[in-house]
Amino acid sequence: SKISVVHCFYFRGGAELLFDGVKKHQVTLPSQPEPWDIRNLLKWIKENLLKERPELFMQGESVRPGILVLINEADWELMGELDYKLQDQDNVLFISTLHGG
Amino acid sequence: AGDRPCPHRHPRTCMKCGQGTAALVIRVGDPFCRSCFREYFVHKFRAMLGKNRVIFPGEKVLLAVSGGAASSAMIRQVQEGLSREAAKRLRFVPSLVYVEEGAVRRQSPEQREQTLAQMETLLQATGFPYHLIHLEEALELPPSILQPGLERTSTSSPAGPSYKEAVDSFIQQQRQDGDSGTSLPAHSSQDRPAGPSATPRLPDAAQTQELLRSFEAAGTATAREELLEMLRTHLIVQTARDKGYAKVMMGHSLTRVAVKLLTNLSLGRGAFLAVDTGFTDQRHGDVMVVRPMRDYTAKEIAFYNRFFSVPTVTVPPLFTKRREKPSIHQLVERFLVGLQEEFPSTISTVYRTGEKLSPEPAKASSESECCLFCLCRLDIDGGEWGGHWG
Repeated sequence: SKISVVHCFYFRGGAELLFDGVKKHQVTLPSQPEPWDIRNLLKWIKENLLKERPELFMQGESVRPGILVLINEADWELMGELDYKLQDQDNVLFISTLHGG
Repeated sequence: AGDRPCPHRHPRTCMKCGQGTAALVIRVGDPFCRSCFREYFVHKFRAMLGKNRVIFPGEKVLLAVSGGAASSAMIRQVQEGLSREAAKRLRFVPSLVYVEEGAVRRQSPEQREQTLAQMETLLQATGFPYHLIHLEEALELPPSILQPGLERTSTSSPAGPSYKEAVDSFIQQQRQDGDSGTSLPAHSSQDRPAGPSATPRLPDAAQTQELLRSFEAAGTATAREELLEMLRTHLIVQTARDKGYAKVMMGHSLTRVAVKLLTNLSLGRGAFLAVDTGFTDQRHGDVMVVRPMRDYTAKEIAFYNRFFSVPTVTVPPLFTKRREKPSIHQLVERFLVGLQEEFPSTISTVYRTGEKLSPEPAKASSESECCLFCLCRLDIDGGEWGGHWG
């Protein structure tokens, strides 16, 4: 069955500078056979939203060290990190704790 | 290392109270609920000041704020501390200082005005007196900033009695006056009044150009970072001196302190690691710098600010030249933060090693020379270095 997922993400602490300064993105992820987990979401962000310098946001298949991920206001470490399966209306928030660059 | 919790469908429980839903993982695998986290965070600040008894009751303290996460969280902790019930209340008198650095962060005049406006809103909301200064003002610092000031010895200063004596006399004074329930005296008239007419204009273009010239003359990104820190610190210390503050609080987090420690080691400042990263920094003599946030990781601060709506203002980083190599500061940060992913004790280990360093003797003897810029004793004696490693 097809799943359409809507969620918002907000970038704070400087990370928004990577996305044209846009802080909040409300997106509907296209239906696909594979489930939408954070891993796939990051791939999608890289391909569709990241305007420049992907290495400032991502490292390998995960976020760059120093970038925190909150899923529905909770630490992604509690939710399985990359393996967390997205639900409709989930909120994903990225906070950068890094200084320049 | 690599000890990650397995994916859970059900939310995990707070390890502290055993009841609340865990909201974040602290340290290595400790889940905390929001409420226990708040307690933990607030308690840490109080314990930090309580353990290092250098802030005297009733003392005027200048909080250096940048709009960044750590210094904003620091403001909130001070507010929390001042509003507690009498027994546990923090009892110093805070003011704020903000150094506007838009010139070297590639901001246009409009962007600088915008940042200033945002910061002013933030500062005004605290109700504390505040000072706004521009980095360009560093060009006008007096030469006396390059020397430690004389520690105050007048009887009116709290530097005279011991901490315990100061507390006792303060409590006695309170009983005599009758505690009015507030711990803040009326705002001093010399500090900036809150109001739109007080918004400072940007420095004139010539000053901005001159500042930029100095920064451009710095040959590397590393030198530029160091220059920025030095000028900012000098401006803050000068403000403290001008306005009569004997203490300055800086919002350096544990992460930042660990990065600074390794960076400074790489820069040949091994002899001064303790004074550069410790809780107290007394090189300026009459103004003591303290770092009450040095026990908080960047993650803890970021989560606290999110959960409890601490306002922050983001600014772009210090400018870099095209095709320039990253600064040592950036490389060390990348290194430490990256290592932390696989080995979650990395940063705290660096930090705890730093804790073992004993501070450089505060007063350099009149014969020994001090560096003009950083005011530390020139590290020219052989064999001294070994003695600093605890």
